Amino acid sequence: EPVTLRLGHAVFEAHPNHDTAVRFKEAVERISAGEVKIEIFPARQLGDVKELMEGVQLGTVDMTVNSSSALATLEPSMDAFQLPGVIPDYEGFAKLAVSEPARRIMDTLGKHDMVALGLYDGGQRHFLTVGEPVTAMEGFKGLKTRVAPVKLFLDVWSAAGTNPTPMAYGEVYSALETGTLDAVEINLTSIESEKFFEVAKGVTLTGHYFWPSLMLVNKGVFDGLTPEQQEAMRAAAQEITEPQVMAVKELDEKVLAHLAELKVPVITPDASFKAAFRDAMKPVVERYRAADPLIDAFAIEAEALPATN
Amino acid sequence: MIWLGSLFFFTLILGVPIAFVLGISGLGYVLMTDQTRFLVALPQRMVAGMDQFVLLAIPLFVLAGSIMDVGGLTSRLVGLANSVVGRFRGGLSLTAVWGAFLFGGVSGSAAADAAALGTVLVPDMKRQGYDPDYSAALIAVSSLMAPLVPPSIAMIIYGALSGTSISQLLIAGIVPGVLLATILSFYAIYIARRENYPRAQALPMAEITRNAVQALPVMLLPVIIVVGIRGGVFTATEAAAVAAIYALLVSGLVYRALSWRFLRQALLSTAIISSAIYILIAMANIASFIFALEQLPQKAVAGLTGLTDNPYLILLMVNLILLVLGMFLDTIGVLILTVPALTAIGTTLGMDPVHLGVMVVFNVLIGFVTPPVGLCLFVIAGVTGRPMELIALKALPMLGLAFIVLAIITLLPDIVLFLPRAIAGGGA
Amino acid sequence: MSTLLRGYRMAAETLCILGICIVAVLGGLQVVFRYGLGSSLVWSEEVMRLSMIWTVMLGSGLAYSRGHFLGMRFAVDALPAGLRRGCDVLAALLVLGFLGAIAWYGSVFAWKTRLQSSSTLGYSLIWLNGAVVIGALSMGAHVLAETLWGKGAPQGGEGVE
Ligand code: NA
Ligand code: NA
Repeated sequence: EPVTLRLGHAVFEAHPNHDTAVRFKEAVERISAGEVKIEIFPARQLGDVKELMEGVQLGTVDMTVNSSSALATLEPSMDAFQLPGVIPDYEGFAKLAVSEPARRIMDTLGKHDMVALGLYDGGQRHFLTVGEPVTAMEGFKGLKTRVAPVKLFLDVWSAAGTNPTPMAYGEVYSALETGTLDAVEINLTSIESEKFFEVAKGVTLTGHYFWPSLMLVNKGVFDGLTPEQQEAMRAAAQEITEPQVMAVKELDEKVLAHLAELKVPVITPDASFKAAFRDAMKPVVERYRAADPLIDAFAIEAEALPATN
Repeated sequence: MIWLGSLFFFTLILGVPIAFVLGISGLGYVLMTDQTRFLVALPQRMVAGMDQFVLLAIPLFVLAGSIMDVGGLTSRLVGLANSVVGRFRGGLSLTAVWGAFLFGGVSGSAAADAAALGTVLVPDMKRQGYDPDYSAALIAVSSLMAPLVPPSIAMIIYGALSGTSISQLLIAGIVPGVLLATILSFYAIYIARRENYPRAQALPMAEITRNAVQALPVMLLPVIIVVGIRGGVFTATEAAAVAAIYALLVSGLVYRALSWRFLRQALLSTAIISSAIYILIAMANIASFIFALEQLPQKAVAGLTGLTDNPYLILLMVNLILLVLGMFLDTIGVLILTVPALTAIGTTLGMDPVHLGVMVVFNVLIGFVTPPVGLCLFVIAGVTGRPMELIALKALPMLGLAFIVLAIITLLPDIVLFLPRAIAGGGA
Repeated sequence: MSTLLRGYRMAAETLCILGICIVAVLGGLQVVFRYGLGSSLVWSEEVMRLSMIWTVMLGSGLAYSRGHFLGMRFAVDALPAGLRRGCDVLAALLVLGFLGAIAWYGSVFAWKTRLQSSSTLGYSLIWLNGAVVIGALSMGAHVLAETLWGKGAPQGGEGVE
């Protein structure tokens, strides 16, 4: 008997997380030969990030693609995916997403009635400024920087020397415009879709961390599927990982080309800036690694990656 | 769907408060369609609906208004309006219109505006020979300016529901507010000529200046809000906190009108008024979840755009639907029920979100003065002791004028958008 | 009994006032810290939201009794007194049934999400989500009291917007 699962997410259709949902829908409907159908509810129709996560826990929403930072309020080991510098690049992300240590972290969600099918990307994060782009560590000093109010991000941006400022996402555009904020740490595709480039005039390609998301299913719903359907779900989730992650990389390149067209200054940090940033982050990374063996195992796996560039 | 609709209308006719109409319909839908796993989503949606930072502007602006009101603000504003426009024929009715406009600069709520001005002005107007039902109606319609001129609770809620920039919405409401005040002024002058209503004595310049100085701290509030947001000092939500603190300082230190007893009263009424608004938002968040499950917004858009692809006809139909809903439901209720579909329609038509927001809010505000359920009509009838039907009758021609303003702001987006573009920059 | 009621009202009112004060003061401090001192408060937003939700949950019962929940009364008010009373009781029963469901499933919700912690201060979200249970119970008590002893269903009160 074919099932239809409702998948809700919190972003607009231009965001990589929507792409994840669409790819999964295509893959699982093909692999299961129509036995598992997915109905996508984009753009907060079924609720915002926190509600969707709770919804999958409670079984009021079958599935979601939801950022790992939201899940860190349930399972602190999720912070592993966003420790600055740990995931080196998109190629590394695609490998680490299907690694054993990542799987162990995702499986901690089982005790919250959720099955995590896979880890995907919402876009590498960079640093957008109202004034000149930041070219050295000192440039961060005191910048009122919008971060999501999450402990890890507050720690990271305090360590970088900025003045981390939590603010509702909807207020960011006008806050950048009026100077309530000096900067925001953000992914390139959002700079494009939210038109942040109109009000902020410099991008520093810090690439400090990624914005991973997890594909989640309610445990009761998943257990209620036939073994064949479950297998199709897992296979589809696995199959789309690499293409999804690499598609975000391509998207980033398109945005960069567009920013160049618009003559928005984009700075690639030089070697000494990169080293200084890594040094500033070191105590934060070590503290989080020491706090949780799951996080440490993931970081060790990341260190063992062959260098790609 | 049938269950949802019939429960909705049944409880509505039964006189169940609108907030609970939404909640009960939602609960009934879940039970009747045998989707009991969604039961636990009802309280979850309530919390999620209320747990939004931008909504905090509601209690804070209500607080600013109540503290200012304790400081004897109404009479000061009325004094100022009177010293400027009182000398014309029908001077007191013009005072009502522009007094409502000035009051709108400190209050985000039409009902507060109607109550305050009705109390102060209707007895005076009666003494000068004005028809009391006409006076009440004029004040009721003028009070719609309060949610147009910043601060505005209706704009905040629209912004929160649709994700539109609240600072831009607040600024975009100013021009429609001025338009409404102007068109109502012409109507008041016309009626005053016809009925031969008196003019007030022109005040000496010294007294006008004195009135202006007295009202100055109050009138600075909207300026502080706009300048503070524009200058990057605070966000739209924080502006409300600044407004409340400013109101406290002005009432306490400048007007010396604040006692502990009054402060307690202002805080308590703020808490209670905001609670009612928040509960409505919470319940509507239940309704919108069920609409999403049934994909109603998409169906509504498909239905409307399937009838015609002429954008003006679509806008006309949207406005008619909103007007009808506004007759029966309260402002926030209409907004919460329709915003998801409206933003989808706006995107389909390629409308600027701020323009769409101002059009929708203005339209829904008209519902305040349309029977059978019109909050400002209730309030002004209560304050003046006149029957609601008679007031509504006198308000009818003025509603026609409000429709003209609605048509202007619907068809000429630039009239709405030039101010936010000039003040708030390129986003609009 | 009346002492108990007075005590309840006093406590609810005082907590509501306190809640609004917290929201206003933290809102102001947030501006002072970010704009004035260059070091933004990171936890204030969370506390403001929490404080407001509890204010609403304790204040909504008071709001109900003061007639702040408007309904469309013209049809019911046109009925003869006896029928009108019947309609009002039926309406109250529907509201009570709804609030009962919210209290019950609200506690299921609060309990099941208790392991989630708030994002900056890290307290268990049972303190946020549990408010809805208290709110439903307190509103229910007010609805019951107004139906049994009040002047009937609420009329247009002081109004909201
Ligand atoms: Na206003
Ligand atoms: Na109406």
